[in-house]
Amino acid sequence: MGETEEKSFKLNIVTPEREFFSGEVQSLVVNTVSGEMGILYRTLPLVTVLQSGIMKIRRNGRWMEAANSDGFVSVLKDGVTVLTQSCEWPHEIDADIIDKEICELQERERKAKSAYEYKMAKAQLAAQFAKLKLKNKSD
Amino acid sequence: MKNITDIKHRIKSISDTRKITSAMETISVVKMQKALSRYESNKAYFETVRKTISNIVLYTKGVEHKVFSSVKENGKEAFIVIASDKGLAGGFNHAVLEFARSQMLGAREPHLFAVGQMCCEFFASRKIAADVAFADASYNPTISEAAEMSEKLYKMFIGGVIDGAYIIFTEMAGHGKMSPKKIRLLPFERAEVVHENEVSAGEEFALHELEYEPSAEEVLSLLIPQYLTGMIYGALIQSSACEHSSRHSAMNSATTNASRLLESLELEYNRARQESVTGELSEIITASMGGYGNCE
Repeated sequence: MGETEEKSFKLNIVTPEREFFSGEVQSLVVNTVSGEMGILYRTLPLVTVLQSGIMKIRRNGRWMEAANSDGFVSVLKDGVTVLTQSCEWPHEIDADIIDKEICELQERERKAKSAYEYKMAKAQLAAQFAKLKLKNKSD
Repeated sequence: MKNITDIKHRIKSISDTRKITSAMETISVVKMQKALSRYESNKAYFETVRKTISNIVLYTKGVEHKVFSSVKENGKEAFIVIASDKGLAGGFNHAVLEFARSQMLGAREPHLFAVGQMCCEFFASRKIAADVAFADASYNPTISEAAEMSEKLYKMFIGGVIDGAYIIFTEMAGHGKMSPKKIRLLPFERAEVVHENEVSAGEEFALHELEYEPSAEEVLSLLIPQYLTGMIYGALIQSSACEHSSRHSAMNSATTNASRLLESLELEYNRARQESVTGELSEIITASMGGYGNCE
Protein backbone atom coordinates (compact mmCIF):
# COMPACT_ATOMS: atom_id res chain seq x y z
CA MET A 1 0.00 0.00 0.00
CA GLY A 2 1.38 3.35 -0.95
CA GLU A 3 1.07 5.22 2.26
CA THR A 4 1.09 8.91 1.68
CA GLU A 5 2.86 11.26 4.03
CA GLU A 6 0.57 11.81 6.96
CA LYS A 7 0.09 15.22 8.41
CA SER A 8 1.07 15.61 12.00
CA PHE A 9 -0.22 17.83 14.77
CA LYS A 10 1.13 19.14 18.02
CA LEU A 11 0.27 17.11 21.09
CA ASN A 12 0.81 18.12 24.69
CA ILE A 13 0.16 15.79 27.57
CA VAL A 14 0.49 17.42 30.97
CA THR A 15 -0.04 16.09 34.47
CA PRO A 16 0.27 17.99 37.76
CA GLU A 17 3.56 16.20 38.43
CA ARG A 18 5.28 16.71 35.09
CA GLU A 19 5.03 17.51 31.43
CA PHE A 20 4.48 13.98 30.19
CA PHE A 21 4.74 14.40 26.45
CA SER A 22 5.17 17.19 24.00
CA GLY A 23 5.73 16.86 20.29
CA GLU A 24 4.42 16.27 16.79
CA VAL A 25 2.31 13.14 16.35
CA GLN A 26 0.22 11.69 13.56
CA SER A 27 -2.59 10.16 15.55
CA LEU A 28 -3.96 9.85 19.04
CA VAL A 29 -6.52 7.41 20.44
CA VAL A 30 -8.04 8.15 23.83
CA ASN A 31 -10.74 6.69 26.06
CA THR A 32 -13.63 9.06 26.60
CA VAL A 33 -16.87 8.67 28.49
CA SER A 34 -18.61 7.75 25.25
CA GLY A 35 -15.99 5.28 24.03
CA GLU A 36 -12.67 5.36 22.23
CA MET A 37 -11.95 8.37 20.13
CA GLY A 38 -9.33 8.79 17.45
CA ILE A 39 -7.87 12.19 16.77
CA LEU A 40 -6.05 13.02 13.56
CA TYR A 41 -4.71 16.14 11.92
CA ARG A 42 -7.47 18.69 11.53
CA THR A 43 -10.01 17.00 13.75
CA LEU A 44 -12.81 19.46 14.45
CA PRO A 45 -12.19 21.55 17.56
CA LEU A 46 -13.78 19.80 20.50
CA VAL A 47 -13.59 19.25 24.21
CA THR A 48 -14.17 15.88 25.76
CA VAL A 49 -13.76 14.09 29.03
CA LEU A 50 -10.97 11.57 29.34
CA GLN A 51 -11.47 8.32 31.20
CA SER A 52 -8.90 6.12 32.85
CA GLY A 53 -7.48 3.75 30.30
CA ILE A 54 -4.77 3.20 27.77
CA MET A 55 -3.95 6.00 25.42
CA LYS A 56 -2.32 5.31 22.06
CA ILE A 57 -0.06 7.74 20.30
CA ARG A 58 1.38 7.30 16.83
CA ARG A 59 4.59 9.10 16.15
CA ASN A 60 6.61 8.60 12.97
CA GLY A 61 4.72 5.41 12.17
CA ARG A 62 5.31 3.85 15.57
CA TRP A 63 2.55 3.31 18.11
CA MET A 64 3.24 4.15 21.72
CA GLU A 65 1.00 3.39 24.64
CA ALA A 66 0.56 5.04 28.00
CA ALA A 67 -1.80 4.51 30.92
CA ASN A 68 -3.73 7.58 31.95
CA SER A 69 -6.20 8.44 34.68
CA ASP A 70 -9.14 10.79 34.26
CA GLY A 71 -8.84 14.24 32.80
CA PHE A 72 -9.86 16.11 29.72
CA VAL A 73 -8.84 16.54 26.10
CA SER A 74 -9.10 19.75 24.19
CA VAL A 75 -8.64 19.75 20.45
CA LEU A 76 -8.03 23.19 19.11
CA LYS A 77 -6.78 24.52 15.81
CA ASP A 78 -3.24 24.98 17.05
CA GLY A 79 -2.86 21.62 18.74
CA VAL A 80 -4.22 19.00 21.06
CA THR A 81 -3.87 19.23 24.82
CA VAL A 82 -4.46 16.32 27.16
CA LEU A 83 -4.73 17.19 30.83
CA THR A 84 -4.80 14.24 33.15
CA GLN A 85 -4.14 13.56 36.82
CA SER A 86 -1.48 10.98 36.06
CA CYS A 87 0.07 9.36 33.03
CA GLU A 88 2.75 6.68 32.74
CA TRP A 89 4.71 4.77 30.12
CA PRO A 90 4.74 0.96 30.47
CA HIS A 91 8.37 0.86 31.62
CA GLU A 92 7.60 3.23 34.50
CA ILE A 93 4.94 0.97 35.93
CA ASP A 94 5.81 -1.29 38.84
CA ALA A 95 3.33 -4.16 39.17
CA ASP A 96 4.10 -4.75 42.85
CA ILE A 97 3.35 -1.20 43.83
CA ILE A 98 0.12 -1.30 41.87
CA ASP A 99 -0.97 -4.51 43.58
CA LYS A 100 -0.50 -2.83 46.92
CA GLU A 101 -2.33 0.29 45.76
CA ILE A 102 -5.23 -1.77 44.50
CA CYS A 103 -5.58 -3.57 47.83
CA GLU A 104 -5.53 -0.28 49.66
CA LEU A 105 -8.06 1.32 47.34
CA GLN A 106 -10.41 -1.63 47.52
CA GLU A 107 -10.29 -1.31 51.27
CA ARG A 108 -11.07 2.37 51.00
CA GLU A 109 -13.90 1.69 48.58
CA ARG A 110 -15.49 -0.72 51.06
CA LYS A 111 -15.10 1.65 53.97
CA ALA A 112 -16.16 4.78 52.11
CA LYS A 113 -18.22 7.06 54.35
CA SER A 114 -19.74 9.17 51.61
CA ALA A 115 -20.74 8.88 48.00
CA TYR A 116 -17.87 11.19 47.19
CA GLU A 117 -15.26 8.99 48.84
CA TYR A 118 -16.67 5.96 47.08
CA LYS A 119 -16.53 7.73 43.75
CA MET A 120 -12.95 8.85 44.33
CA ALA A 121 -11.77 5.37 45.30
CA LYS A 122 -13.54 3.89 42.30
CA ALA A 123 -11.94 6.36 39.88
CA GLN A 124 -8.49 5.73 41.33
CA LEU A 125 -9.04 1.99 41.13
CA ALA A 126 -9.91 2.29 37.46
CA ALA A 127 -6.69 4.20 36.86
CA GLN A 128 -4.64 1.51 38.63
CA PHE A 129 -6.32 -1.26 36.65
CA ALA A 130 -5.53 0.56 33.43
CA LYS A 131 -1.88 0.70 34.45
CA LEU A 132 -1.84 -2.98 35.29
CA LYS A 133 -3.44 -3.86 31.98
CA LEU A 134 -0.85 -1.91 30.08
CA LYS A 135 1.96 -3.49 32.06
CA ASN A 136 0.70 -7.00 31.39
CA LYS A 137 0.26 -6.18 27.74
CA SER A 138 3.77 -4.89 27.30
CA ASP A 139 5.52 -7.70 29.20
CA MET B 1 30.36 46.32 83.73
CA LYS B 2 28.23 43.24 83.39
CA ASN B 3 28.54 40.23 85.56
CA ILE B 4 30.65 37.42 84.06
CA THR B 5 28.09 34.72 84.86
CA ASP B 6 25.31 36.76 83.26
CA ILE B 7 27.27 37.03 80.06
CA LYS B 8 28.07 33.34 80.19
CA HIS B 9 24.38 32.51 80.48
CA ARG B 10 23.51 34.69 77.54
CA ILE B 11 26.24 33.16 75.44
CA LYS B 12 24.93 29.72 76.27
CA SER B 13 21.33 30.52 75.46
CA ILE B 14 22.19 32.29 72.23
CA SER B 15 24.40 29.50 71.02
CA ASP B 16 21.60 27.04 71.79
CA THR B 17 19.19 29.12 69.77
CA ARG B 18 21.70 29.30 66.97
CA LYS B 19 21.93 25.55 66.93
CA ILE B 20 18.17 25.31 66.47
CA THR B 21 17.99 27.95 63.75
CA SER B 22 20.88 26.50 61.82
CA ALA B 23 19.32 23.03 62.03
CA MET B 24 16.04 24.45 60.76
CA GLU B 25 17.92 26.18 57.99
CA THR B 26 19.55 22.94 56.88
CA ILE B 27 16.21 21.17 56.89
CA SER B 28 14.47 23.96 55.03
CA VAL B 29 17.12 23.88 52.29
CA VAL B 30 16.20 20.27 51.50
CA LYS B 31 12.48 20.95 51.78
CA MET B 32 12.79 24.04 49.65
CA GLN B 33 14.60 22.20 46.88
CA LYS B 34 11.95 19.50 46.88
CA ALA B 35 9.12 22.01 46.85
CA LEU B 36 10.77 24.05 44.13
CA SER B 37 11.24 21.06 41.87
CA ARG B 38 7.60 20.12 42.42
CA TYR B 39 6.64 23.64 41.61
CA GLU B 40 8.69 23.61 38.41
CA SER B 41 7.08 20.40 37.21
CA ASN B 42 3.63 21.63 38.13
CA LYS B 43 4.03 25.00 36.44
CA ALA B 44 3.32 23.62 32.96
CA TYR B 45 0.12 21.98 34.16
CA PHE B 46 -1.06 25.04 36.04
CA GLU B 47 -0.55 27.25 33.03
CA THR B 48 -1.97 24.77 30.55
CA VAL B 49 -5.12 24.33 32.62
CA ARG B 50 -5.66 28.07 32.72
CA LYS B 51 -5.02 28.43 29.02
CA THR B 52 -7.26 25.54 28.07
CA ILE B 53 -10.11 26.86 30.15
CA SER B 54 -9.80 30.32 28.68
CA ASN B 55 -9.79 28.80 25.19
CA ILE B 56 -12.93 26.92 26.04
CA VAL B 57 -14.53 30.08 27.34
CA LEU B 58 -13.48 31.93 24.20
CA TYR B 59 -14.81 29.39 21.76
CA THR B 60 -18.01 28.50 23.56
CA LYS B 61 -21.07 30.31 22.43
CA GLY B 62 -24.65 29.66 23.24
CA VAL B 63 -23.90 27.15 25.97
CA GLU B 64 -25.74 28.00 29.15
CA HIS B 65 -23.94 26.97 32.29
CA LYS B 66 -23.78 28.54 35.68
CA VAL B 67 -20.02 28.93 35.44
CA PHE B 68 -20.36 31.31 32.52
CA SER B 69 -22.58 33.69 34.44
CA SER B 70 -21.06 37.10 34.96
CA VAL B 71 -19.53 38.21 38.23
CA LYS B 72 -22.16 39.49 40.64
CA GLU B 73 -21.57 42.74 42.39
CA ASN B 74 -21.67 42.23 46.11
CA GLY B 75 -22.43 38.53 45.83
CA LYS B 76 -21.70 35.76 48.26
CA GLU B 77 -18.14 34.72 47.77
CA ALA B 78 -15.91 31.91 48.89
CA PHE B 79 -12.25 32.41 49.62
CA ILE B 80 -9.67 29.68 49.76
CA VAL B 81 -6.85 31.10 51.83
CA ILE B 82 -3.57 29.23 51.86
CA ALA B 83 -1.05 29.86 54.62
CA SER B 84 1.36 27.49 56.32
CA ASP B 85 1.09 24.96 59.13
CA LYS B 86 4.07 26.25 61.03
CA GLY B 87 5.37 29.62 61.98
CA LEU B 88 8.97 30.82 61.93
CA ALA B 89 8.87 31.60 58.26
CA GLY B 90 9.54 35.31 58.36
CA GLY B 91 6.73 37.47 57.09
CA PHE B 92 5.25 34.70 54.99
CA ASN B 93 2.06 34.03 56.96
CA HIS B 94 1.51 37.60 57.98
CA ALA B 95 1.69 38.92 54.43
CA VAL B 96 -0.75 36.47 52.92
CA LEU B 97 -3.20 36.52 55.83
CA GLU B 98 -3.38 40.29 56.08
CA PHE B 99 -3.89 40.44 52.32
CA ALA B 100 -6.68 37.88 52.58
CA ARG B 101 -8.37 39.78 55.38
CA SER B 102 -8.33 43.03 53.47
CA GLN B 103 -9.77 41.25 50.45
CA MET B 104 -12.50 39.63 52.48
CA LEU B 105 -13.60 42.85 54.15
CA GLY B 106 -15.45 43.94 51.05
CA ALA B 107 -17.38 40.71 50.61
CA ARG B 108 -20.96 40.57 51.79
CA GLU B 109 -21.06 37.00 52.99
CA PRO B 110 -17.58 35.54 52.85
CA HIS B 111 -17.22 31.79 53.05
CA LEU B 112 -13.79 30.76 54.15
CA PHE B 113 -11.80 27.69 53.23
CA ALA B 114 -8.84 27.86 55.56
CA VAL B 115 -5.75 25.91 54.56
CA GLY B 116 -2.97 25.56 57.09
CA GLN B 117 -2.83 25.73 60.86
CA MET B 118 -1.73 29.36 60.92
CA CYS B 119 -4.62 30.37 58.72
CA CYS B 120 -7.18 28.62 60.94
CA GLU B 121 -5.75 30.30 64.02
CA PHE B 122 -5.55 33.72 62.42
CA PHE B 123 -9.21 33.76 61.46
CA ALA B 124 -10.38 32.06 64.64
CA SER B 125 -8.76 34.79 66.72
CA ARG B 126 -10.57 37.37 64.58
CA LYS B 127 -13.89 35.63 65.11
CA ILE B 128 -14.26 34.59 61.47
CA ALA B 129 -15.44 31.02 61.28
CA ALA B 130 -13.99 28.85 58.56
CA ASP B 131 -16.56 26.89 56.57
CA VAL B 132 -14.04 24.22 55.85
CA ALA B 133 -10.65 23.91 57.48
CA PHE B 134 -7.78 21.92 56.10
CA ALA B 135 -5.39 22.22 58.98
CA ASP B 136 -2.52 20.18 57.62
CA ALA B 137 -2.86 20.40 53.88
CA SER B 138 -0.22 22.99 53.21
CA TYR B 139 2.94 21.29 54.41
CA ASN B 140 2.93 18.50 51.90
CA PRO B 141 0.05 19.10 49.51
CA THR B 142 -1.56 16.17 47.72
CA ILE B 143 -3.89 15.96 44.77
CA SER B 144 -6.59 14.25 46.79
CA GLU B 145 -6.80 17.17 49.22
CA ALA B 146 -7.09 19.56 46.32
CA ALA B 147 -9.78 17.32 44.82
CA GLU B 148 -11.74 17.38 48.06
CA MET B 149 -11.65 21.17 48.20
CA SER B 150 -12.67 21.51 44.58
CA GLU B 151 -15.56 19.11 45.03
CA LYS B 152 -16.87 21.10 48.00
CA LEU B 153 -16.41 24.40 46.25
CA TYR B 154 -18.15 23.21 43.10
CA LYS B 155 -21.09 21.83 45.04
CA MET B 156 -21.50 25.12 46.88
CA PHE B 157 -21.35 27.03 43.63
CA ILE B 158 -23.85 24.84 41.79
CA GLY B 159 -26.11 24.76 44.84
CA GLY B 160 -26.20 28.55 44.90
CA VAL B 161 -24.55 28.87 48.31
CA ILE B 162 -21.90 31.08 46.72
CA ASP B 163 -21.82 33.26 43.62
CA GLY B 164 -18.09 33.33 43.15
CA ALA B 165 -14.88 31.82 44.39
CA TYR B 166 -11.39 33.15 44.85
CA ILE B 167 -8.14 31.59 45.86
CA ILE B 168 -5.58 33.57 47.83
CA PHE B 169 -2.05 32.23 48.03
CA THR B 170 1.56 33.31 47.87
CA GLU B 171 2.88 33.49 44.38
CA MET B 172 6.43 32.97 43.20
CA ALA B 173 7.40 36.11 41.37
CA GLY B 174 10.82 34.79 40.35
CA HIS B 175 14.28 35.62 41.70
CA GLY B 176 13.27 34.55 45.18
CA LYS B 177 10.57 37.18 45.36
CA MET B 178 7.07 36.31 46.46
CA SER B 179 3.84 38.15 46.88
CA PRO B 180 0.28 37.34 47.92
CA LYS B 181 -2.06 36.88 45.01
CA LYS B 182 -5.76 36.52 44.43
CA ILE B 183 -7.15 34.57 41.49
CA ARG B 184 -10.79 34.20 40.63
CA LEU B 185 -11.72 30.55 40.15
CA LEU B 186 -15.41 30.90 39.47
CA PRO B 187 -17.30 32.09 37.50
CA PHE B 188 -15.48 32.57 34.21
CA GLU B 189 -16.18 35.90 32.68
CA ARG B 190 -15.92 35.97 28.95
CA ALA B 191 -15.11 39.65 28.60
CA GLU B 192 -12.18 39.34 30.95
CA VAL B 193 -10.82 36.24 29.24
CA VAL B 194 -11.05 37.86 25.82
CA HIS B 195 -9.25 40.88 27.16
CA GLU B 196 -6.57 38.80 28.84
CA ASN B 197 -5.95 36.74 25.72
CA GLU B 198 -5.61 39.71 23.45
CA VAL B 199 -3.05 41.17 25.73
CA SER B 200 -1.04 38.02 26.35
CA ALA B 201 -1.25 36.19 23.05
CA GLY B 202 -1.61 39.14 20.77
CA GLU B 203 -3.00 37.01 17.98
CA GLU B 204 -6.52 37.02 16.68
CA PHE B 205 -8.36 33.77 16.99
CA ALA B 206 -11.08 33.26 14.49
CA LEU B 207 -14.00 32.56 16.76
CA HIS B 208 -15.34 29.20 15.90
CA GLU B 209 -17.49 26.97 17.99
CA LEU B 210 -16.23 24.04 19.96
CA GLU B 211 -17.88 20.67 19.86
CA TYR B 212 -18.61 18.95 23.12
CA GLU B 213 -18.60 15.20 23.33
CA PRO B 214 -21.06 13.83 24.56
CA SER B 215 -22.78 17.10 25.55
CA ALA B 216 -21.72 20.49 26.83
CA GLU B 217 -23.44 20.05 30.19
CA GLU B 218 -21.86 16.69 30.81
CA VAL B 219 -18.39 17.77 29.75
CA LEU B 220 -18.48 20.96 31.78
CA SER B 221 -19.78 19.26 34.90
CA LEU B 222 -16.81 16.87 34.80
CA LEU B 223 -14.29 19.34 33.53
CA ILE B 224 -14.81 22.18 35.96
CA PRO B 225 -14.08 20.20 39.15
CA GLN B 226 -10.91 18.97 37.45
CA TYR B 227 -9.97 22.49 36.50
CA LEU B 228 -10.55 23.59 40.09
CA THR B 229 -8.48 20.70 41.39
CA GLY B 230 -5.64 21.63 39.07
CA MET B 231 -5.73 25.26 40.09
CA ILE B 232 -5.96 24.54 43.80
CA TYR B 233 -3.18 21.98 43.68
CA GLY B 234 -0.97 24.39 41.77
CA ALA B 235 -1.64 27.13 44.31
CA LEU B 236 -0.90 24.77 47.20
CA ILE B 237 2.39 23.76 45.64
CA GLN B 238 3.43 27.32 44.93
CA SER B 239 2.52 28.35 48.42
CA SER B 240 4.51 25.52 49.97
CA ALA B 241 7.54 26.34 47.82
CA CYS B 242 7.27 29.95 48.99
CA GLU B 243 6.87 28.88 52.61
CA HIS B 244 10.01 26.79 52.57
CA SER B 245 12.12 29.37 50.80
CA SER B 246 10.87 32.09 53.11
CA ARG B 247 11.63 29.92 56.14
CA HIS B 248 15.05 29.26 54.70
CA SER B 249 15.89 32.94 54.41
CA ALA B 250 14.39 33.73 57.82
CA MET B 251 16.43 31.01 59.49
CA ASN B 252 19.51 32.00 57.56
CA SER B 253 19.34 35.58 58.81
CA ALA B 254 18.52 34.39 62.34
CA THR B 255 21.65 32.26 62.35
CA THR B 256 23.77 35.11 61.04
CA ASN B 257 22.37 37.45 63.67
CA ALA B 258 23.04 34.94 66.41
CA SER B 259 26.63 34.56 65.24
CA ARG B 260 27.14 38.29 65.23
CA LEU B 261 25.63 38.63 68.66
CA LEU B 262 27.80 35.81 69.97
CA GLU B 263 30.92 37.52 68.65
CA SER B 264 30.21 40.74 70.47
CA LEU B 265 29.19 38.87 73.61
CA GLU B 266 32.40 36.89 73.57
CA LEU B 267 34.33 40.13 73.31
CA GLU B 268 32.42 41.51 76.24
CA TYR B 269 32.98 38.32 78.18
CA ASN B 270 36.71 38.39 77.56
CA ARG B 271 36.87 42.00 78.54
CA ALA B 272 35.01 41.31 81.76
CA ARG B 273 37.23 38.35 82.53
CA GLN B 274 40.35 40.34 81.80
CA GLU B 275 39.11 43.09 84.02
CA SER B 276 38.52 40.75 86.90
CA VAL B 277 41.94 39.19 86.39
CA THR B 278 43.53 42.62 86.37
CA GLY B 279 41.58 43.55 89.44
CA GLU B 280 42.68 40.44 91.26
CA LEU B 281 46.27 40.92 90.20
CA SER B 282 46.37 44.48 91.40
CA GLU B 283 44.79 43.36 94.63
CA ILE B 284 47.49 40.73 95.11
CA ILE B 285 50.22 43.21 94.22
CA THR B 286 48.86 45.82 96.56
CA ALA B 287 48.47 43.24 99.27
CA SER B 288 52.00 41.90 98.79
CA MET B 289 53.44 45.40 98.65
CA GLY B 290 51.61 46.20 101.82
CA GLY B 291 53.12 43.00 103.29
CA TYR B 292 56.64 44.02 102.28
CA GLY B 293 56.05 47.43 103.77
CA ASN B 294 55.08 45.77 107.02
CA CYS B 295 58.18 43.53 107.05
CA GLU B 296 60.58 46.30 106.62
